[in-house]
Amino acid sequence: MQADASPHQTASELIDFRDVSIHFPVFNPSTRSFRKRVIQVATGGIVAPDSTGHIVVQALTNLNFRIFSGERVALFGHNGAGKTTLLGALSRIYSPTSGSAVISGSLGSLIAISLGSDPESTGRENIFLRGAILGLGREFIKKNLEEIIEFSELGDFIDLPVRTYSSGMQMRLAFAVSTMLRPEILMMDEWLSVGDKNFQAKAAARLDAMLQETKILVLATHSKDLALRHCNRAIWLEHGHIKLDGPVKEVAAAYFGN
Amino acid sequence: MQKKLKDALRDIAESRNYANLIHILGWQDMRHRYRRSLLGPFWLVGSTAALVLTICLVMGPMFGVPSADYVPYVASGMIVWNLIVSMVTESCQAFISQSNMIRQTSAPIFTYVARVAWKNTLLFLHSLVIFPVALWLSGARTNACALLALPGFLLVMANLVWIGLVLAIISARYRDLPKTIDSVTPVMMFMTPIMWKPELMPSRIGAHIVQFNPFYWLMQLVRLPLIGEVPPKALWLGVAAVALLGWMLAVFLFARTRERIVYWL
Repeated sequence: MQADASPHQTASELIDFRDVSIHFPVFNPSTRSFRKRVIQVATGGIVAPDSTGHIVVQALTNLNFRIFSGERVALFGHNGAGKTTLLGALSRIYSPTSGSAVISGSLGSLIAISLGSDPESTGRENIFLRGAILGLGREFIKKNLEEIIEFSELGDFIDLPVRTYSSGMQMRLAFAVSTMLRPEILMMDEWLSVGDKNFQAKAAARLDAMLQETKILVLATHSKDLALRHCNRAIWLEHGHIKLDGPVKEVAAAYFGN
Repeated sequence: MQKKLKDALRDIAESRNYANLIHILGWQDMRHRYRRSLLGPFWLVGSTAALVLTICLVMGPMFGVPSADYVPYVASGMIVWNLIVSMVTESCQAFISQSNMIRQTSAPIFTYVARVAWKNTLLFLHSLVIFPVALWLSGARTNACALLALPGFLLVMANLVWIGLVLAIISARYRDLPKTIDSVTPVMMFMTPIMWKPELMPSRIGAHIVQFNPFYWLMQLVRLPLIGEVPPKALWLGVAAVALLGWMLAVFLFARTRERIVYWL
């Protein structure tokens, strides 16, 4: 692995993708049922049938890259270019259909920060629920509980069901919980901005504190400003291929045009 | 394959780190439907109790079995049967219903099977309340054997969890399986001696029906202790052996499919 010379000789690489491809099989009710399996009627593919006749969508094709500690990577690409799938692969959710993906280090994500929260439970219960989804233990959450409640400015609402919250309040709570993580590798899909003017400044400071401690940031974005401000490298995806990979300024210039 | 086996075992082991999540979600699943109702999960217990009572009032006299004998028999049978059925049917949905979570978080995938198991364990413990009430109402007694119901329960769960894992995997890929299971379970309820006793059936039909019914053997392991009998040694060994073989099969299947499950959702 250290054989080929890289600018980072210290072996501080955390992510190593080699020939990674991700293909999604598309099942319709007939390919999903037993009957189909038993009768084995052959079907033609619209996107690309694989060897067994299933239709597959090629989301990512032969990606090769490594990401080292200290890198802040922006992901560019149009809708459907494969950004979300790549974030999923980097989060170890999708194992490559072919090729090898090595991701070493703890993972965190600020994507779908309200995922799994329960509108019928109180804000307090949801802190424990969301914390648990992030893989945090009860004790750790307890230690951070007061700080989260204070930060989210929910006051007495914290003991009311979340369905009574305004959407802004829900976002503030979700944000406060998700940012208690300190992962080595952090995934984001666009920058998070929550709440009103006052709260946004507070949230930005909290996000910065979190980023200070992460080794790698991967940020999928459509914003040139954002990428230039927060990233030092960019990967441009097109139709599941890497079109360009390099310093953020160059890639941004090529992708957005000057 | 060896690496895949190791990864599968690691997935199962690491789901223990998510014990907190399993616990919270298990509770949430159980009380979700009864949130804001006064009795909460005891609604489920209440409906089981009503069913047991009705069966005892209607079928009891039909069979001509003394109620001190019949009521605990039906009550214990129904409690265990409910556990088996809801484990089997809900495990089919373990991955399907959580597709959003699975596609967006990197928690071990076994977590979702454990969640179903934990929810049903909690529910089982709640519905166990029915049994002493049934004893009291019918004037029956049990004895110290009832304590054997605990190891019996654990062994039954060990089996239901591997069955659940297998069903969850296959259901994610073949969506006809949950529907098949849903339509087979009511039939199984009549094939399994919950409200009738095998020895009351004419000639040997009863014996034949139960002999090849795996659910019957699982049920007996918890029911017999509850009604004060020690399950035969062969039953313990048999069910333990099935658990062992079943887990080997389940882990093998899990190893082969684990990485693909998320693509199937």
